[in-house]
Amino acid sequence: MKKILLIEDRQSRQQLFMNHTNIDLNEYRDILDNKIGKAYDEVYESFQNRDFDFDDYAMVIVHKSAFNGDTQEVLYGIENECKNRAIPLVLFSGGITANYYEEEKSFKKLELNSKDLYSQNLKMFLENYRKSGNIGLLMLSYGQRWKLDIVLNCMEKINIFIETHKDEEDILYDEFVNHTEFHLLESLKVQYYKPTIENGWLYLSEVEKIALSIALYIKESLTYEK
Amino acid sequence: MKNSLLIHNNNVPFKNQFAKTIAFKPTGVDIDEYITHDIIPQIKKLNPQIIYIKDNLSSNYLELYGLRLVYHIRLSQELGVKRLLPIVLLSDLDSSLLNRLSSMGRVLFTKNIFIAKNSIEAVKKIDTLEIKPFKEELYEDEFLNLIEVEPPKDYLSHHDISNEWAIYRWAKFLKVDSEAIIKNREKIASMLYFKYLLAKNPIEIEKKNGIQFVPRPPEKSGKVLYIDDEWAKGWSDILKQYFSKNQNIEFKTFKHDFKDSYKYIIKSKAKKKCEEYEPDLVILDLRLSKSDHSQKEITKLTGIEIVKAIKNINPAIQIIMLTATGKSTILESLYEHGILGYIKKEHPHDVSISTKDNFDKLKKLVDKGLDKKYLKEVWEIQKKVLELHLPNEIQLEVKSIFELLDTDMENRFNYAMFAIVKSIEIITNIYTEEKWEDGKRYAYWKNSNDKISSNYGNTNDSTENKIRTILDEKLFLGDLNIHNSLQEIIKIRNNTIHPKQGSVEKITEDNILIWFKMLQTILEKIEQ
Repeated sequence: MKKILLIEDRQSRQQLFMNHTNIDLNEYRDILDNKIGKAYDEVYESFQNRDFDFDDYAMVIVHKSAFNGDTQEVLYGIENECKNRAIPLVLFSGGITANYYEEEKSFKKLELNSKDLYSQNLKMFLENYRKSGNIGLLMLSYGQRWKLDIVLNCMEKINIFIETHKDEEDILYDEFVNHTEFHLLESLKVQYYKPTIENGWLYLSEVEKIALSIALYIKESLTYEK
Repeated sequence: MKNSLLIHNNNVPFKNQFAKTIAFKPTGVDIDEYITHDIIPQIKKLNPQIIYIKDNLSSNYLELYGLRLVYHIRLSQELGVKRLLPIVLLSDLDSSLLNRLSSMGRVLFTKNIFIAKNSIEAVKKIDTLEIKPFKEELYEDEFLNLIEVEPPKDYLSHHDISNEWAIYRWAKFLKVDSEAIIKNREKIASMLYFKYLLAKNPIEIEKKNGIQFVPRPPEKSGKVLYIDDEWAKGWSDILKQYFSKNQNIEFKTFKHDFKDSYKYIIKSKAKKKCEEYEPDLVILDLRLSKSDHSQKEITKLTGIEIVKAIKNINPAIQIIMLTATGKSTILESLYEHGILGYIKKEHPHDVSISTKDNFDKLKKLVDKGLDKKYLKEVWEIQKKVLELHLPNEIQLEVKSIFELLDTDMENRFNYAMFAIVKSIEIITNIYTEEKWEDGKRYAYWKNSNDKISSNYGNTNDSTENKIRTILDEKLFLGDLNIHNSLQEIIKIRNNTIHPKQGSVEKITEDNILIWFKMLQTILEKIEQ
């Protein structure tokens, strides 16, 4: 399994955060390459010389502020490499005020605050990666709520679909799925209303029932949230 | 919808129903910067009467940038009264769920913020409502006091926030516009948190009657050295501008690259700078190295260690601490290290610190510190005198001179004058003794039957006659200035003890310096 690369120039800050959250990053050595201290200096030099081998990594996490001013070019270089190889990139910094997610073709980039990165979200993310081999970027940003984010996005699309098809009585099921990414809910094991589909068609009222059931799921998720 | 504006992310299917629209498309920049530099100017330009915003403006619903945008509109002062426009949040959720998702949801309970389903029917219904205008005078009660904007999460950067906030305020008052100040302003002006702070704590440069507050510069003269790891972020420019208003003050910054510097390097270089520049006053930060931020022992903070180093060079160098720390235990303990006072940098969470008060305090402290600059010379004289082989009694008197002057006692100059005269009396006792003759007292040379001459003062045994005769006949010190000084100090001493009406002369630091130098000359001659 390819590793996750973490590049951090502020070793003591990382230690402080880890003490605070009670996470030992050494426990994840099999999947995490934590470049701090001397290892950071080496990897930094390698970036500058443009001879770093990205092929060993499934994802790159970089402290954004480590590359300021004259060294910003190095950060652009990392981003370009990740983009070309479709390696998800996470940039973190204490100065990032609101988390930001960007998806361009097959390249995914997430910018988030240092405190969000060095939190229980990171533990959840690493354990999920170790178990499934999947990069759950949203876990880093939303932690326990990562599923909820997908459900909310889906619900918004369903509501838009209803609004744009409100004058129609029946809907082509495939069209509905294409517009709403409804299929994602199945893989997340979300409880929702199972519509009646006849010959590839369903009534708009069935779609409305789906929307209602998802709204209920969201309400219950938030009500019983730990 | 007449004169309406919709801000969307291609997720409002009936967008062509609105008079104007803005597509929200941030591209790789900080979201607050994007809103401030792209969206807010467009709103200003389009001049709508009502703004509709989709709650989700990105590919991740949970980001809820729509809510963030609502806050920006209400808190962006550049929008003027337009920041009070009615806003409708188009959402797939109700207000209670939005509040569970984000604490920012509380804005939905403030004046003229509405929530509606993302459907044309819901919007048409809103369109029929008669919305009363949100008046400026209700801004605090109906909006500002009902919301809260949290600072960026990384608690380790709070020191930076405080620093940037204080720089912003000081620079505004002093109208400093240097590169560092502009950079600081650009960095923070777009941040929602700072917009909130600014709304909560406006910079009241102009008073209600139109009179402007102008920070008064110090009045005294001298050399000021500034030592702070944040100097390049704008503080150096701010203080330079502040002191430039008094041409008698020479201001210098210790321009060290603190970022990658270890504590011992900072300490030794700061000490060297003090030795070379010989400042009268130092404005010093408390935390100057990375290690200081995790240091729990106050005495081991770099600032405190530099205080000790400066006091070792010359304890008369006055020190004002300029610090971001708000802990009163730390601040009060600073006095134990001999500082003159401290200035607490404004902190977003401590509204008790006023920038105006800080300027007043700084002026008072600087003037007080520069008033004491003569003490540096006093200390140097004392140091040289104490290197001589003196009787213990004289040593004690000499040592007390600096200690007395370095207090805030009203009569400190008088006490110092007495200590100098006492030293002179001790000298006279080394060379002369008194004997009674026919009911009268006379001064004789020690262990001799020879009376001393009576060329000075009223009587042969007066202190003035004794010391000046010693100078003439034993030390061969005929310097007229020394004689004049002796005459003066003894006269003033006598007048102070037995004041004649209206004749008490005020002793100044210049008097003390002349007399102390005179004593030094006499003692050096004795040593020879």
